[in-house]
Amino acid sequence: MEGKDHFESSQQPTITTTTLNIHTSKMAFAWKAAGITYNRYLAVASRVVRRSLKEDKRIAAEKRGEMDLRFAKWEGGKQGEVKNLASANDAAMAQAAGQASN
Amino acid sequence: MLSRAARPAFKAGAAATTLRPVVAAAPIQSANYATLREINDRLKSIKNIEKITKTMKIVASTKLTRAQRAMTESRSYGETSQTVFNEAETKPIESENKKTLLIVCSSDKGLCGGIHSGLSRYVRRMLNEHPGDYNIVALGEKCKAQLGRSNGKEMVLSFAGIGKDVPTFSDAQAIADQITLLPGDYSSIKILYNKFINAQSYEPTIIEAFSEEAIAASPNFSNFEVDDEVLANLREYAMANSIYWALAEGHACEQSARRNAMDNASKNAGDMISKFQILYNRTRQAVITGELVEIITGAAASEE
Repeated sequence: MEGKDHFESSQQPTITTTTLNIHTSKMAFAWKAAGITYNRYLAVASRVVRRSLKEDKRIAAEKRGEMDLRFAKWEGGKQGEVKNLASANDAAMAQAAGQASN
Repeated sequence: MLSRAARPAFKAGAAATTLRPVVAAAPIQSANYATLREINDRLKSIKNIEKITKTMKIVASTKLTRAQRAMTESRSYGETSQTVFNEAETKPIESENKKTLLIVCSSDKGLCGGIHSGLSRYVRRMLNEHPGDYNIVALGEKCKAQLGRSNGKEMVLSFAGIGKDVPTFSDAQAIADQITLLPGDYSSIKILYNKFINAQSYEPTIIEAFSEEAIAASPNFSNFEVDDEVLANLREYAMANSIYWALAEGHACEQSARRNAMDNASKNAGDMISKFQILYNRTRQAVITGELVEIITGAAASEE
């Protein structure tokens, strides 16, 4: 019980507290406030887990986390500029974070 | 690379088998050696192509086992994720003025028979039945090129770099994120992919990725006790799961289709090789006979 109280009172926006808070409190998720989507949040969490693995397992696991896609927006039947997906997603989330804090 | 190089050669080879006997039947004496060498050259090039297609078949077979394993694993992700909506009896919302988003899962690579054009054809049929109801997101260069030409106006996003290797969940997550960022409001999202039936057959199939309203409106959803707050998370995650499933299954189909295509190409090359070999031997015989006749007549003439 004490441990749970500690988590709620401290309200530190770390991953551990937010995951514990899913059912215990109405506090909005810290990562959501930072403009991060659930998928991105999972990707970050899984990257942390993969990096903390032992050397031999880590190399195999990190391969599964690779993502090197490009994308393009289309408008009026024409393909737009081809951009890197990872950087575009980061930029979009940073923008969302800016809007959320305003 | 190969397709452009190989097709003219195949065509020329096929034409040669039909044309050559006519030429060989009325040979000009001096041209005999040239045709012989020509046939030999062609024979060599077909043999090289056969080697390439055989190698590609072997590569595809090795990749296929990995792709199939990834597919079985991804299927459990996708099906588990879909169980929630089956149990909740979620139905896509039918509304007149909202569009449906169609995500087409192909890949960047060709030389695998008609699996990409099969998807494109399916999309076009859907678009013809309900014109103006769909927006398209193309995953992979192949369908992008095909649909971009015919239905460029409906395209909103295209992704490239898919199909180099077995798709990862990170790929699916990043794609799902970018799709959620789309400005349009869609009544439902359909993910179109090639369903793996067995090594020989596959068919275009649709997975539904429901919108938040559709999930919230489903009759049995209250049983799951999901807060409204986390509903958006569930939707995003479910979409990533479905996309991953679709990509992995599509990848397995592509590999098996490529294996079959290369198998057929090797078989055809083998047929052509045997045809050309017979033609080569016959022409060689004809040349030798012709020379013998010349020598004998020459000898008979000089004896007198």
